[in-house]
Amino acid sequence: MARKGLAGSLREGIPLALTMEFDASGRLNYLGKGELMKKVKTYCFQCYNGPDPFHMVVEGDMVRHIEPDFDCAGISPGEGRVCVKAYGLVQKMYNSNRIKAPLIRTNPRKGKDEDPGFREISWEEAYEILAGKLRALREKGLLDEKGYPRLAVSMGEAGSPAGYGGTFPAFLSAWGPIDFTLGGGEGSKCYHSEHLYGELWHRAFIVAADTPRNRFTLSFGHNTNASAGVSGAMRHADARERGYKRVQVEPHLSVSAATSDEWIPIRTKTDAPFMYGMIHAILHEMDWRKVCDIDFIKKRTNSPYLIGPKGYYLRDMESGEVLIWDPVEKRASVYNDPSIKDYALTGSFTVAGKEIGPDGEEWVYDKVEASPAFELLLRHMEEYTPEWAARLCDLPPSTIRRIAREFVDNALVGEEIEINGERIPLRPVAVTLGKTINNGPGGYQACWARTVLAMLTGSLEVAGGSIGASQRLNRPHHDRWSSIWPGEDGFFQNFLNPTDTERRKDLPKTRSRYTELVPLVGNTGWSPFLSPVPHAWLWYSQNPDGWEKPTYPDVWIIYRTNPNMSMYYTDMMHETTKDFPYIVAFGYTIDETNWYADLILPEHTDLEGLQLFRIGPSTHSEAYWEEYGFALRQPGAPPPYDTRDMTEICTELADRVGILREYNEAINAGIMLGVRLQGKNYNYSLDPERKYSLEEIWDRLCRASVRLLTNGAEERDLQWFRENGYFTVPYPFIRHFLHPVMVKWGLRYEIPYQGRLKVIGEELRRRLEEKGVDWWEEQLREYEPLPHCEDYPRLWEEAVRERGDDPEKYPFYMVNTRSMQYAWGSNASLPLMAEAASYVTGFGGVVINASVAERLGISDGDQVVIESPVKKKTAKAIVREGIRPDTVLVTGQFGNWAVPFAKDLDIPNMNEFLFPNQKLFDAGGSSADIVKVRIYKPGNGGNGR
Amino acid sequence: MIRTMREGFIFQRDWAGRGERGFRDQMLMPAIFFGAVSPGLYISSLFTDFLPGLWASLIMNIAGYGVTHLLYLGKMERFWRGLLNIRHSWISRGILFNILFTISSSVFIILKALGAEWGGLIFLCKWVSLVSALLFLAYPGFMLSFVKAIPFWRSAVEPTLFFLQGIMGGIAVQLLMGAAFSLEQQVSRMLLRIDFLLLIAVLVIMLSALVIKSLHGDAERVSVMYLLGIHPATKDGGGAFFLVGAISGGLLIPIALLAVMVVFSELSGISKALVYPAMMLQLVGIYLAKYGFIRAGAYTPPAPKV
Amino acid sequence: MKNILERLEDFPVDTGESKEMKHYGMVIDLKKCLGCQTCTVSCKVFHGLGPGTVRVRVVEEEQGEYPRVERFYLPIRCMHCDEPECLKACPTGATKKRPDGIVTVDQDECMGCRYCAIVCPYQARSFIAVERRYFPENGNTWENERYAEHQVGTMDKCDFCHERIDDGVRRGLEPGKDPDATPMCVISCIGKALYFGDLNDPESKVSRLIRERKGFRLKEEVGTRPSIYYLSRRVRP
Ligand SMILES: Nc1nc2c(c(=O)[nH]1)N[C@H]1C(S)=C(S)[C@@H](COP(=O)(O)OP(=O)(O)OC[C@H]3O[C@@H](n4cnc5c(=O)[nH]c(N)nc54)[C@H](O)[C@@H]3O)O[C@H]1N2
Ligand SMILES: Nc1nc2c(c(=O)[nH]1)N[C@H]1C(S)=C(S)[C@@H](COP(=O)(O)OP(=O)(O)OC[C@H]3O[C@@H](n4cnc5c(=O)[nH]c(N)nc54)[C@H](O)[C@@H]3O)O[C@H]1N2
Ligand code: SF4
Ligand code: SF4
Ligand code: SF4
Ligand code: SF4
Ligand code: SF4
Ligand SMILES: [Mo]
Repeated sequence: MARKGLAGSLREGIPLALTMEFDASGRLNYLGKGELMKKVKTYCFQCYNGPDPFHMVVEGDMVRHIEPDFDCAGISPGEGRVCVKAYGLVQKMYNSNRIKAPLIRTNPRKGKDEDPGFREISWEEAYEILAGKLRALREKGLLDEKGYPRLAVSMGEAGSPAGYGGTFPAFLSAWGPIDFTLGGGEGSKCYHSEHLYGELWHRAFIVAADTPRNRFTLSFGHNTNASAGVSGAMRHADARERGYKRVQVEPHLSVSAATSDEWIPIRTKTDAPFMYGMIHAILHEMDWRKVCDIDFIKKRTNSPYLIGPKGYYLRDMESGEVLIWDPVEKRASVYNDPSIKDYALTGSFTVAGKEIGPDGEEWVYDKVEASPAFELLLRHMEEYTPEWAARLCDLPPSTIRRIAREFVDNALVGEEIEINGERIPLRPVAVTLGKTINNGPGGYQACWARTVLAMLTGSLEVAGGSIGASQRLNRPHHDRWSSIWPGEDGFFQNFLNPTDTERRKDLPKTRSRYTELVPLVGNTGWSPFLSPVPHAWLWYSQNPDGWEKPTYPDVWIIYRTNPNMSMYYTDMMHETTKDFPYIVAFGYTIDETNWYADLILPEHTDLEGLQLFRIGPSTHSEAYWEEYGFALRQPGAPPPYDTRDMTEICTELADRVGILREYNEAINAGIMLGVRLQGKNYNYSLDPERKYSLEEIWDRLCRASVRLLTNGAEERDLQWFRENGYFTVPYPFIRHFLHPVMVKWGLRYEIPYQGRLKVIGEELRRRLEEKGVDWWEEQLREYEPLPHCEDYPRLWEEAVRERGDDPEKYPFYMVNTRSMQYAWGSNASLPLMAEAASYVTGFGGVVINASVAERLGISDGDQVVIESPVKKKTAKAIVREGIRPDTVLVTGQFGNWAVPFAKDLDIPNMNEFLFPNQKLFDAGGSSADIVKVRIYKPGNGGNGR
Repeated sequence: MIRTMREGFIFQRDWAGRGERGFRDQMLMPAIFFGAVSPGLYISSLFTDFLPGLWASLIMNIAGYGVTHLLYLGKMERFWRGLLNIRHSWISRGILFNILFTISSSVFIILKALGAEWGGLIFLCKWVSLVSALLFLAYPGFMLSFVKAIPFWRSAVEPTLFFLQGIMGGIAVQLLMGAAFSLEQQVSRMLLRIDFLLLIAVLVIMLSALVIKSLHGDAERVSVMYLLGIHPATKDGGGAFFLVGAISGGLLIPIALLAVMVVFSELSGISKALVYPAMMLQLVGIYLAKYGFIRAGAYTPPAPKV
Repeated sequence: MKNILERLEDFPVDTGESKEMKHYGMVIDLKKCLGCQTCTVSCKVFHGLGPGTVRVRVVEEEQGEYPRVERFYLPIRCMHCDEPECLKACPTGATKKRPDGIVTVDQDECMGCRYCAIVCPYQARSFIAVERRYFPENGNTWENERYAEHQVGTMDKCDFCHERIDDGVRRGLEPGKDPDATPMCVISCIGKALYFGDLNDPESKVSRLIRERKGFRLKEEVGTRPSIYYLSRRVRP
């Protein structure tokens, strides 16, 4: 075996010291290598917790290894470190199983068992074939006969393609109408309710704890140690060192529960009942006037708003503004009357006013009994005792009471803290929710209850409490303060899909029909991704009567998503996608979706491509930056295979398709980064008619971005970014909390009473009835101003019964968890990650409780059968104490049969076992990763009890 | 091979056939076996003046021990480096003893075979070879007993056992060789008597060691459980080969067979037919016992109870 | 088993060496480690180790019975013992201890007898038995280059990234403080659970942590006197 480096120099008798070399810049030369190694700055955005800057250490023509970038320690919440997945990027780049050149299908038959017979072709051929397809499509018209866009594009990975796609957004924008709703599991399987309701109550996509100032975090399956990236992991590790308390409520002892102070093994999907029990304990068993943040409840929430007998806000006759009761003056005033002395929270008052309901319907009262929303909350919560909750959660009621007590005790009502010279409340308690908790039935209730707990303790959007991460449905994405402005009824503005007949007429049509079905999701850039994507797919095979079956897109482009694995009901997905007329994939390896593709274009990976991207001030998660700006992703070494940069591909395609002008104009308009190329004192605009190189495009964006950040004062070119990696300016940390801006505008959160939801829900019901839609009933039930709570797991049992099967036969709830080593299925082809994951419990099989396993005669490592009403598969049993006896667990999203290496892993995928049932969807069109299964040893006749 | 990270008591993986190099990883056990039988045979042959036995010992030493041991090493061409830490390392010492033994025994055998009259040299070689044979015989036992990390090995039992097993093995081979080369009746009888005593001693030491060790500590108990086939890791047949092979086949049956002969104290035709199987079993037993002891080496878990 | 935590009352950091000399050591905060395996993988990539060879294992242990169960993570690498069992066992002298406490293996001298792996109480050594590859079928650029840095048939273990330390020290950097002079796993750990530094310097971060949080060592009873200390997950009463 060839030898060199350290051992080599020793053998030659040269002292190590003499072979060390440094260049002027102090770059290092470990191992006495002849050639200097250099550090190249770039970032990782493999998951949405990034971008996390790091260094590639390059030796000669090869990226040798990866190191943290401590230059950004002061500004990045990850302090310059990257997680285990980023170290896998070297293997991702040099992966021998990558797609190494454009591939074209030679086998016209498509199917799981049909080898596509992919053949390598040149880029020139690939471009011509694709451009030809797209030109022909434009000639036919951008919309098909039924009004659906002919081009559908799926991007997944929870938004992280943006960090890699280069000018792809400009290409898409240049194209015209596109259907983005045929997606993978992102959005609908994510923190779905939190995404939708989060924008209502937090103006945010995701809600996190302000961990550095937090004293008590109650986490319902929020799997920080696996899912919250470097910053999340680090912030919680620091908080542990400091001594905060973290309670993890979850059916199994996850990697996050492992480092928590307490693990509460709750029955799956009963998180909302648990929180309802807590709220009951606070409101009905404690003296809420003493333990709650009364000032916050009165001034920052709609608790004092009077509610009329129909359940709508009671409004002033003249102005139409919502009324509250002033107990000092003993009269009703409009909520924003500056002369109000105090706000009544309880009681019932006789007042004059009117209610405005759906479609502008009005009820006018000269004299009517009305109570503040808070009074209704008190009455509403009466039935949800800890005993009631405990029965559902399968926990002692005392646990719920104790946690409620600890929660209010740690809230430190009355305390303040100074941040950036501004004093804001310090309420160091937070509830965080993981994904299965907040999608599907019960998701709304969990989000609502969590926000009510925050409201009661005044910990909503203040220091130490629950705060939102960057918002997605409302712009601008990167600054929460500037996305807040006054709207109706003293709340901040929201842009929902219209539910009135007039404005619904000319809504654009997509295959998930979200503009018609989900008002909350709105209609902005991210809306299609959060829409009822599962339904778009379902309607191809299970179309309700009277509902139009969507057409197939003429061309479907897939980029960084694998819907056939990540969406629910994988078998149905295969059957559907195999009939799509033409599929193009930008790919990395063969996977279960591009298996059906007609053409695959391999793009550069993370360490090979060039693009500028935003960093800070916050991403989808607990990554709150001290600065914000732009970072460059750049090639560390020449690509080992014949792959291309997305920007290059897009420019080439735009040119050949004949939309170069629109493409350049989209870049000029700042479609990728929100950075226009022309500003007050600078103009870097592209000439719309010219074709620009990759470097030219990004050079201009580098310059314009820095101009934007510095108000036109400074300029940095691509070369500068190549050397320095990123340009940032300070971001006052106080802007991560909404509180100051809410105070500034005098706004209130619409909590606890969902007056607007009630109106919208009623209007939506009418619109759907007008269309004859009767299968959205369960979903319409969700539009309750004070949501009712029930036994949600029962729904999964009933779903089995509705299939004519016996729920008793399936005694286990199967749940799913993430692992830190994987970003969905995107790095499943890397054996290095499998190796690392295999060192952590849960990977590689199905986790089952030890005493149950003993009863079933199953030992650790045995092959067992997992059977749901629709699927049967064998898997390795992982026997552990840390899981509820009624629960089994699978990790990640595997079950691959096409992705190289991963296909040999033989790990079950949650999605194969799921089956659709309309009652298992919430109002946003999302369901939860739960299914009833049985487990038994092969040949044991299905005796899995 | 991916190592598990979930470790309670784990067994050593480096010796006795838990590797990935195919037959090369299997070579340590033959080395240890022949490393015991060869000097054992040498000693018994020396005392009974059995020249064929001396030759056989030499062959076993070179082919059975030397070659297999070299094959086991990751870098066999560097075996000589193994002599560089005699002060501390039992492997170094073992190599030294082996070299001494090989040289002195070869010279002695050759001189003896040639009938040379160099009394002084013969005398020197005889004693050097005898002493080095004894050391060589015992060194693997010391090698084990000095492993602080594996409590099961850490006692005087190992060197003693390894020593006795070596002699037993030597006697067994010598008796088997009696079929082909003439071995005097009374020599055979004496060897059988010694062997009988050794068998009983080994049985007693082995069983009491198992009992004492299993009472002594958790890791030792795990090792014992492994040998008795009642540890989960025994799915690979550990219990069977030790209990059935080493104890029953290798000790109890030979003891029974020899008891018959010792009682009749006469080597009849029938009893001869018993000797060979008994000796074969005894050799297999020695191999399996050593194999079992080495495989059963378990570390205490690294994790403290929290 | 005796509870190791109960016997930790007094382990002042005392290597018995002159304070003038460096003695490198590590502190691992079990409260902060989350078992993410970043250390394991960053080490593997930095050192170019093939599949299955790890220099740091993060041992995961579950204790207790449902519903009172705990799981914790215990990163274990070579402890750079002051009294290394491996050093005594190694017949060739390939295993060496540097004056600064770092225990190394010179692969050019190792004959692959594996005695050191057997005697190590922490199972900190891996034998490179065969050339393992993640991509066995086709010659892989990175693997071709990087695996050439190791010799099949010899022993591998954590060497405290001494190349980084030596390189850094020569450039006037301080191990444990300056990333370029600090082991890869320490600078990559996302729980910030790892600390590196000079145990002979009573004012170094590692010494202070050991003092203040009563650092303990694993398998103290074996007498190897490891240079790696752990900080308990529980706040001690
Ligand atoms: N069973 C199960 N299913 C789930 C989830 C779960 O927890 N369990 N989680 C759900 C959630 S929350 C989400 S957000 C979704 C995510 O699901 P998806 O958005 O579908 O993401 P992936 O499955 O990672 O698919 C990404 C694809 O991109 C490809 N890829 C990887 N790297 C590159 C690259 O550099 N370039 C290109 N062009 N392609 C690349 C990979 O081959 C992979 O097939 O999954 C959902 N589905
Ligand atoms: N390393 C890594 N990080 C990621 C991702 C990734 O793929 N890899 N994906 C990112 C994306 S897109 C998302 S959406 C997030 C998801 O982030 P999380 O929601 O934090 O992650 P999960 O592990 O999927 O699910 C959380 C936990 O909920 C538990 N659980 C399941 N059902 C229930 C229940 O009914 N009640 C309770 N209390 N717990 C339950 C699961 O067992 C699991 O341990 O992670 C993001 N971060
Ligand atoms: S947390 Fe996500 S973005 Fe950050 S380094 Fe890890 S994979 Fe990359
Ligand atoms: S931990 Fe093991 S390998 Fe490391 S110095 Fe100590 S005995 Fe040697
Ligand atoms: S394997 Fe190498 S380092 Fe280990 S004891 Fe043998 S010669 Fe020494
Ligand atoms: S100190 Fe270096 S060699 Fe040792 S485990 Fe850490 S990274 Fe690996
Ligand atoms: S990187 Fe740090 S937190 Fe992660 S497993 Fe290693 S020591 Fe623990
Ligand atoms: Mo997600």
